[in-house]
Amino acid sequence: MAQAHVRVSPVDRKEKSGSVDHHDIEQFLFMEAKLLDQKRFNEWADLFCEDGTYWIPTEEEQVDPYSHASIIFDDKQSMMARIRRLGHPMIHAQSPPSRTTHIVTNIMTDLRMDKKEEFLVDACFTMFEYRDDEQLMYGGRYTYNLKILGGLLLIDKKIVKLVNSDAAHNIMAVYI
Amino acid sequence: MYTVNQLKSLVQKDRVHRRIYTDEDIFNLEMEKIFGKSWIFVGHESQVPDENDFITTSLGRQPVILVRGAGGKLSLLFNRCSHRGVKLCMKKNGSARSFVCPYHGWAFKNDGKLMGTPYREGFDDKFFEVEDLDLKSPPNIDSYRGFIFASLSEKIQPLDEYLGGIKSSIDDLCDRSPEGEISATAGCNRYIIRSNWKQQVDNGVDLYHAPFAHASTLDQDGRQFNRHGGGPSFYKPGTRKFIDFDPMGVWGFDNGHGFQGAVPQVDKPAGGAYQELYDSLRRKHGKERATKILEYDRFNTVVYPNLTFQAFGQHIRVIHPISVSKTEIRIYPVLLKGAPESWNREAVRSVAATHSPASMIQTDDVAVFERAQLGLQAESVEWVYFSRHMGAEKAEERGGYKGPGSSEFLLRRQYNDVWLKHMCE
Repeated sequence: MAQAHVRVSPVDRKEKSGSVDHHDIEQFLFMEAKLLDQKRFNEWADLFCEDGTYWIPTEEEQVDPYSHASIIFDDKQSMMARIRRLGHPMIHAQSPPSRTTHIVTNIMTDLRMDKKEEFLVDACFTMFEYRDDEQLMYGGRYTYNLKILGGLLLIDKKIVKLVNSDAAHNIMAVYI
Repeated sequence: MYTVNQLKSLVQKDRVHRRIYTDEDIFNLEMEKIFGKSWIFVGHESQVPDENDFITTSLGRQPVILVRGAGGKLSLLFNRCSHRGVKLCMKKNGSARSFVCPYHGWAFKNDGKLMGTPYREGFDDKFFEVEDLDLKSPPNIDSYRGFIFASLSEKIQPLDEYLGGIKSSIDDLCDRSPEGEISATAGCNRYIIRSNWKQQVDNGVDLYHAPFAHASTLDQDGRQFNRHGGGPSFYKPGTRKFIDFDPMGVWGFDNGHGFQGAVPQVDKPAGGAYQELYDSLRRKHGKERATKILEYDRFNTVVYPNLTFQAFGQHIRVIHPISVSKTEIRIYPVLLKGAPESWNREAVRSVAATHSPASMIQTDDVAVFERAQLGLQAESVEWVYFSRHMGAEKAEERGGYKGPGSSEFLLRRQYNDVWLKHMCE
């Protein structure tokens, strides 16, 4: 168990002293999902480290986003561009806007990392997206590298492995 | 079914009837006539580099296998057992000397020859003599600088002639590679457009839509994206006023092909991988030619009816019609062979930002195409107009025509000279 004086949630700014445990990480993931569902995208981006990345690969065994096509590969800079666009009045892909519900489950936490302040988390998700009279459903696995930086639990890497990553997708404008 | 006169009434000089986007009978006829009488892009040689390599894809709506057989010979086989019609190969790609039907075990060599029929004694010997039971192929397959096209038409003009002036765009893309070759082996982004396939073609050389359809992606300099420190801008330098598209020009050629002129760049790309790429091209071609090759003097290219590509955005886009109101698009990032690894890696990443199903640019186009399909359901309103800069295009000395950048002359030519001609044949 990592020993730290940690704010588990940068949103709630709830302080926790001592170790980060499985329950804290669960709550962190639920809160992340809730921020997306509530379209609090700037606050959601704040959950990422400065050099954090968000990646949706196209292939199950894909090793990196530079040698093979990806659906999304955002660093903080492109994440902020995407979020600015989500607030633009002329984003046609969000007219009408999406409503989403993320369900995060089967959370497995590896707390026994060599570095005491990094955690590997594996989870399953479904996301319902409703837009323009149609409901879509995405599902798959999330893998997270989480880090404690400056007393905050943050996302270093989030990878979204869709079960149908190589399918022909309807357009996606919001984060999964 | 449509008579020739009915078909002719759907296309006028500056407009087409809404039904060409919404009528299933028209769509079925297009698959037979447009996809049947053109050269259709089916893949890139780099996707089947070695003997026995194959990919599966579709020609129009028809399932096909593109395979490299003995001696490197390319074949395109209909992916359908000659016995009961079962799809032979379900893999997207792989290596195979033969394809065996899962139903009754009929086996075919990868050049299509029937080589095995289990329990053969139950058939009359004459059956195998009389019937041609090898896998069928479209009558024509050929390639230009690695771009493989096939045609269902026996009488079609040679590929080289069919491409004509648009070969210059393929050259422009391939010449950027120090080896003069590209590869399309960095995976694929696939997305569905809930609209007619021609929406994507119509948009192929449309500069006029950018300020409106892409407003949400323009940064404060009017740029949609940036590559190696350079990027085209839709704003006049130092202002938030949109540039005039007309001086950029748009070019059109026989058979419906065309390309857009370049959108002016805010900064020239420079440094790092760009310099390295420039240096290897300079060593091969000399300074002047290397500079010329790396200039972005054109934006999108359309090879009618199912291929568009871009050197700047470094991708190939292939249009697969599914139904009158559903289309699949496949985007392949393009790698320049012999270019610095970091150049190609950056290009692959850039395609995810510009042309994936979640990309920041393509999604707004798709949203607009889908809204066109919805709007065109208004049966009481008949016409769709392509009337910008009527008659302003001029014949070019090197062949083809050039019009003002926002001219819609390429669409007028596609529908009047190519679409209607094939549909009435």
